[in-house]
Amino acid sequence: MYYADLLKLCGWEEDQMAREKPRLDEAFRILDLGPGEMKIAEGRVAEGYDIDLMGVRKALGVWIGGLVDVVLSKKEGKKVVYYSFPPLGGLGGRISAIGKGDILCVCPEFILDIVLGAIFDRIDPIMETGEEKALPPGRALCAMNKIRIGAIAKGIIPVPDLLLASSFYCDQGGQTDEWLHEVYGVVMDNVMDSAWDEFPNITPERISYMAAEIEDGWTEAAKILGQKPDEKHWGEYSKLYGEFVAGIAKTNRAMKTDPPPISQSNLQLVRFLRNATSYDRFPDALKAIDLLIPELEERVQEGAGPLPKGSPRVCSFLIPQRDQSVAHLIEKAGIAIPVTFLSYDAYTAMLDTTYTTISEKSAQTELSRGLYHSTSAILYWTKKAVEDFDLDGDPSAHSGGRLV
Amino acid sequence: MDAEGIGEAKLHQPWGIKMNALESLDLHLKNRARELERVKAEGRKVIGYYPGGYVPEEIILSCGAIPVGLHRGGEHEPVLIAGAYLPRWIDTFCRSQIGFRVLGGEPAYDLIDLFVIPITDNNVRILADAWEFYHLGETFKFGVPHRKTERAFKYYLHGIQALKEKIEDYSGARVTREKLNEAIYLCNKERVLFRKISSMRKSMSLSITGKDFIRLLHASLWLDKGAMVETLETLVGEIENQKIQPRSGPRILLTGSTLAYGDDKIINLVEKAGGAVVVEHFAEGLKYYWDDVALDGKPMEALAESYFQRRITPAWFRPSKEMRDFIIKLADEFSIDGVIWYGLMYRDSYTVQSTLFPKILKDETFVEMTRRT
Repeated sequence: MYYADLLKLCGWEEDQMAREKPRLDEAFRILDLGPGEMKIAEGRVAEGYDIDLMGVRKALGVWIGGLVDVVLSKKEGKKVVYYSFPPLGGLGGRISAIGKGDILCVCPEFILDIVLGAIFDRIDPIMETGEEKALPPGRALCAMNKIRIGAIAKGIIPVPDLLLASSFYCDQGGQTDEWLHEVYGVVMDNVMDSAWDEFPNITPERISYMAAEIEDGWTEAAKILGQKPDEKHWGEYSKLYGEFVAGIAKTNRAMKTDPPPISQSNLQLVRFLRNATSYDRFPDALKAIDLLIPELEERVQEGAGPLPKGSPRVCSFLIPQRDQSVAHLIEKAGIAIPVTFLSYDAYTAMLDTTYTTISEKSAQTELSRGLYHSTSAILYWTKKAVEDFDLDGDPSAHSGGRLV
Repeated sequence: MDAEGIGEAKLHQPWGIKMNALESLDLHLKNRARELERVKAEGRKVIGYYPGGYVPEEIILSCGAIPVGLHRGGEHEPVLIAGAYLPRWIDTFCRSQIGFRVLGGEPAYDLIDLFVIPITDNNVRILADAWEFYHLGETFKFGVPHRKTERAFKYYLHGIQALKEKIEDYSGARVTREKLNEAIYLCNKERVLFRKISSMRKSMSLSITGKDFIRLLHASLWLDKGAMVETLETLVGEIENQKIQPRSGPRILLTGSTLAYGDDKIINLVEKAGGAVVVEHFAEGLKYYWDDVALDGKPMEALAESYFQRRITPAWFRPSKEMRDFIIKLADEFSIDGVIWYGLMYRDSYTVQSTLFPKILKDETFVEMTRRT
């Protein structure tokens, strides 16, 4: 197995490799990843990631497995559902709770960006295809959407049975999915018209509009999925993902210490597993975070981390994941990034809702998190993060072309 | 920046055809800034609005306030200045709005008491955010959903009702049904006249140049409504009575996200090359005149019906088929030889659409399209 060394480096065990060998062979054939590419990837993983941490290695492995799952999904008879990023919280999880392993519900560009981008350095031709087909270069067009279109156009990932395009945050998710197909996509809308400083108050009209859009989205999706998610699915999802969310909270506690025990780019790799992995792969995601937490706690005890104690601390909107060197550049300049806007989870504890339906609760939760609410809401939570993580600044970085 | 501003600096250019109505329009344009200063001194409010076709001027007019579309663009300096306020990948028209406000010297931007901004897409949202964050003046925002559903209609209606309350508070006048219907009647008259002139451009003997028609559409966002209607009425009569020779040269449909006031280069290029812009369709910058507001129902609902439900959707709506079908219909009705898709840098909902549209257009009409940014 020409890929064995890379997969071992990425936390795969022998028996897992043996079990998945036919799938790995087929997926790597489709992806055109041979021995040469594996060697390059080994070097990139060793250079770009904190491979002293087994939790990080395991997470890398889950991402690779996730790509294999997407590439083979249609061939393996699964219903394929894609959603755009950033998604409705728990969207993938709830659909997974409906379909168990029969439905693959992922944000494919996220997986491709990490695996073919960060690990293999093979994302550019896919992005260029996306640019040729639909989203020209040099504009304010999201690279993630270019990857989605490019990968489908090149036949690397299958055409989905359902696209769940949320336009909760920017116009581009819905636009891209409309480009892909005007018929099988379900678009859920949001209107970001809040007055400045309205947050944390949210007008009932906004919750009501967004909730109804979500409900409509579920109704349409049920035509493919067989049913809408109900309280039972919500419960299953919460049970399945609750442990992971609790793990994220623990990693955030570790990151509040000085020095932070891990580079934020490595932590993001683990944290985003919640949003991007399929149902079948989720137990491995849990293993990754379970492995990481004691490793971080040990470093906290030792006062160890990639930067010395007392280093300046900043927040970022998120960390570029396709290219680790961007985060490392900041760290090499002696600046730690203990938190990102997307990793800051203080808001998850604040909801005391009087809403009763799942869609209303979803809408209220999403709007409370700020990203779908307004720029002033993003600032509100960023200011809280600055206080909470004792930060010195915020050099925001985010996906090129997304308007924040 | 020209200190004389919109009225004199830009529109006071020779018209493509000589008509008494256009000469009298020049006078109105020349005097508009001073007229606004005067009425403002008398206590009336000047309400600026983002010219994306979603602000019913009727609401403002019925309160005795003065609606002014902020539609300047086509200049480099305001875009450059806005770089201190907005990221560079916001579209140039939205950036220009910040620039014109900050630079000063444009009467419309200097005189407004309130800026009404319907949030149509992220570019406009960020323009509104920056305007508020940097205290460039008071704003009022309301949302424009991106789908035409019953709930979206209600959301928009809720937004314009809030706008009505805001303008009432601001002006100290109540919007009565009678006043609103009067304003609707007046605005309908203007829309009918624009449709009439537009329809004359279907003829192979062009009665008015594309550039002149676009200047009229721009003028209507700035001038007194009564004066504008009067001018258009006279103009229609004059056009009907003139003898025009058939003209040759390609007939062009110009479309895209925004055609700002002052953004003349593309039209000049077409006309200098011997072509004629015979119809145009833009989401922003021009007066939208394709539909009237009903006078026989509840006026606020009627406004929402016309301004949201029946308005041809911009590219940021999902799906965008309605917009594409409308352009195809125009191409057919106006005997178009070619379509120019004029997209502003970073207004990328239109970039996405422009990749889809050429093939659809060709399949439906055999007409070619070219994209320009």
